[in-house]
Parts: sequence; C-alpha cells; structure tokens
Amino acid sequence: MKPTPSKSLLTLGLLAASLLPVAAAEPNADQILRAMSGKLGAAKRFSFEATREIDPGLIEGHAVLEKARVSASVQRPNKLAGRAESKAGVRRFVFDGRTLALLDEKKNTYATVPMRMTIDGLVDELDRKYGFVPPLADFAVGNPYAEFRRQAHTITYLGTGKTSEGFLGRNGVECHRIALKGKAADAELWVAVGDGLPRQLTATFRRVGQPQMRIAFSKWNLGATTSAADFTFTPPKDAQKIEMWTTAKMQAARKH
Amino acid sequence: MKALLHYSRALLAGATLLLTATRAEARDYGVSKSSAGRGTKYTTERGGTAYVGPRGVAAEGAGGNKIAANRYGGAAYSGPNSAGAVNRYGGATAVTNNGEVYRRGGGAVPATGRVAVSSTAVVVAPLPVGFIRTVPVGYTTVVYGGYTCRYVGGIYYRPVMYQGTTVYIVVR
Repeated sequence: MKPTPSKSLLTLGLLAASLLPVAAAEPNADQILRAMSGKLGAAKRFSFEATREIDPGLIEGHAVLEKARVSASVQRPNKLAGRAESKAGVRRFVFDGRTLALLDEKKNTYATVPMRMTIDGLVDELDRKYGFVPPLADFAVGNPYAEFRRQAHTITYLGTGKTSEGFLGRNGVECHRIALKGKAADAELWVAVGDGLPRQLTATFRRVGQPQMRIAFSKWNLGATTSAADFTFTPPKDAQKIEMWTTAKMQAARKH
Repeated sequence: MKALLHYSRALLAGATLLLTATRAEARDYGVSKSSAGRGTKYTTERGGTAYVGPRGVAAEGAGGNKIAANRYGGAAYSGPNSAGAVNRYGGATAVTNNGEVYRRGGGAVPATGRVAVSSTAVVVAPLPVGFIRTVPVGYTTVVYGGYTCRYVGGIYYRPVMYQGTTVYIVVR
C-alpha cells in the first residue's frame, strides 16, 4: 500500500527525532553528593591536601585572612593523621585508634587522650566533649553524605564550572557545582566531573560582611600507601605535655 | 553565651561604679563642672555626664551609652545594642545584641569546628576571664604548683590544650 503523505511525514519525523541528540537531563545534586560520599567511604586508605582560607570576620584576633595548608591521611576504620600549617604555626593531629595526640609545634606543647574508637566516633566525641573537630574531618568520616545532609537542609544543582588550577587555569578541572543551604551558612561544593571527588568548598556565613571560608582540595590519592608510622605519635624533644581540657571543664572555669 | 555576657557585665560594672560619684552644679557654656569624690564631674545641658578621677575617666551619654577607661589601660563600653571591654594587653570582648561574640588581640586562633554549614563552624568561642591565648613576651619556663608554667611580670601562666590549641590559665 502506498503510504499517505501524513504517514510519510510521521515516519520522517520519528527518524529525525531518533537522530537528534538526546537533551541531557540536568544532573542530580543529591546523586552527585551520594556518589562522592560513596567513593570516599569505600576508600580504605587515602590522603589529600587542601588550602584553606578564612576571612578575618571568622577568626578572632585576625585583621587579614588566614591561609592554611592542610594535609590528611586516612586509614579506615580508625586511623587519621593531619597537619595544618599557617602563619599561626603548625598543628599536628594523630589518631591511631587508641589514642589521640595533638601537637602545637609553635608553642612546643602536646596533649594525648585515650580514644578507643573509629574515625566517626572520634569526630563525634571531639565535637561533643571537646568542642572541636580535626580540620576537614567531614571528608574523612565513613559517610560524608550523611554529614552534609545533617548540616544542609537544601541541596541544589547549579551547573558546571572549571577550577582555576595551573597557569591561567590551564589545569582546571571541570566540576559539578552543588549548593548546600544550611542554618548558619550556605556552601557551594565543587565535585569533579571526571573522578567524582571534591575540589572546592566555599562556605558563606550569614553574619555581618558575609565572611567566607574557602577550601581548595588537591592531591587526592585514594590508593595511598600508609604505614603504622604515619599514625604513630612521637613527641618532639623538649616538648611539654599538657592537659587537654573539655568544654565542660572550661564551662566550669567560666563560672568561677 | 550567658557566661560571656556576665563577663562583659562584670567589666562594665566597674564603669558604672565610676559614674555613681556625687556632684555639685557649676554651669558654664552648657557644661557644668563639679567635684566628685577625688575627681571632677562634668554635665552637659543635653543630659550627658563625664567623670575624671585619679584612677580613670567615665562618661554617660543622654542616650544611655556608657564608656569608661582606667589608668592601667583598660576600657569598657556599654550601649543599647552592644557592650565591649578591652584590657591592658589588648585582649577584648564585644557582645552584640544578637548574642554574637567577637574577640580581638588575644592572638591567632586556628579555625575549629565542622567545615561546611554547621553553626559550630570556624568561629571560636572566647575564653573566660583568667585564660589567655598568648603569653606576654619575655617569659621564663618554671615549675609552679606542680605544673610547668610560663612566668613573666610576676604572673604564672599554665598551658592547657583547649579546642585543639594551646591556651594559658593565668595563675597569680
């Protein structure tokens, strides 16, 4: 039977439609965050470096921004070592699954406290009992996604962007940009399109001047070779061992 | 936070005490001058008062703003929206009307807290009275009360680790 003109047009239309590139659906921010979290959570041993900049409005005693170089090594489930270097000095953090050691190199002091737990337990315990957590610990816990979801009530996909690494941004990495809206601050997390790892985090705080904290990640190594020595703390010669105070103890001191 | 407010209030109490001195009137171009204890009190026609004494100065504006300074380098301010104080070493505490606390001059403080969007991120709570982050220069290390302390200017400073950084308890 000879096809009618309308049927011919329909066939042609369908053929043309099949040849057209499929319009890309917008990536799902939540899925990207889950994938990033899954990748970090599955890595048994990894290391990374980061540059952290904090606007003066967020740090007491600072009229200029603080820039710090942070490096961290992680061995799941219970080993973590970190180093943060800034103009204020060098701080080291060593956790071997049994003991946590903190070293203040500039003041040549250190403290140790027994902590028989996992990295997740350590982060929670430090936050709850001592009022701080290790630098960038959110990326070392077993499930970073849960941590981000706990802190952010809204997650939105903003599009893609390229990091400005290298000369004139030549070594920039294509990233998904994800907006995280929280109670005290909003953040924008950049996750590399290629390897799904975090590349940048900018948090803007809801206070006068909208001060920011900017973190640029580099040197992710999800196959890092770590050894027991990396998580063994040996105090420097002549370093003074001091007591580590809890927030409860400091609260009690406030009352006196 | 409450304790911090109490800290500022305690400092401001000193300023208030200076303002409670008795006075006599003597008007001159809108400013009256009177003797007040061992010092002198000035009053403006618009309701402002100021006291200058041997140990410091204090003033109160018609709008309720108060400010005081002593000869030892300390100063305090109290207004309807905020309060603040600074000590001789440059350490300061300011409390705004929304409860936020800022400190200056106490030395560098590395950021602590969670990195992303939590309320505990970055800003470090000020230390209570009797704690400092940096010992004055020129100290020597000595053992005092069973602890290794820094000693300078007749004051002992005992180091402790707090929120990941070294702070010092002022032991007199």
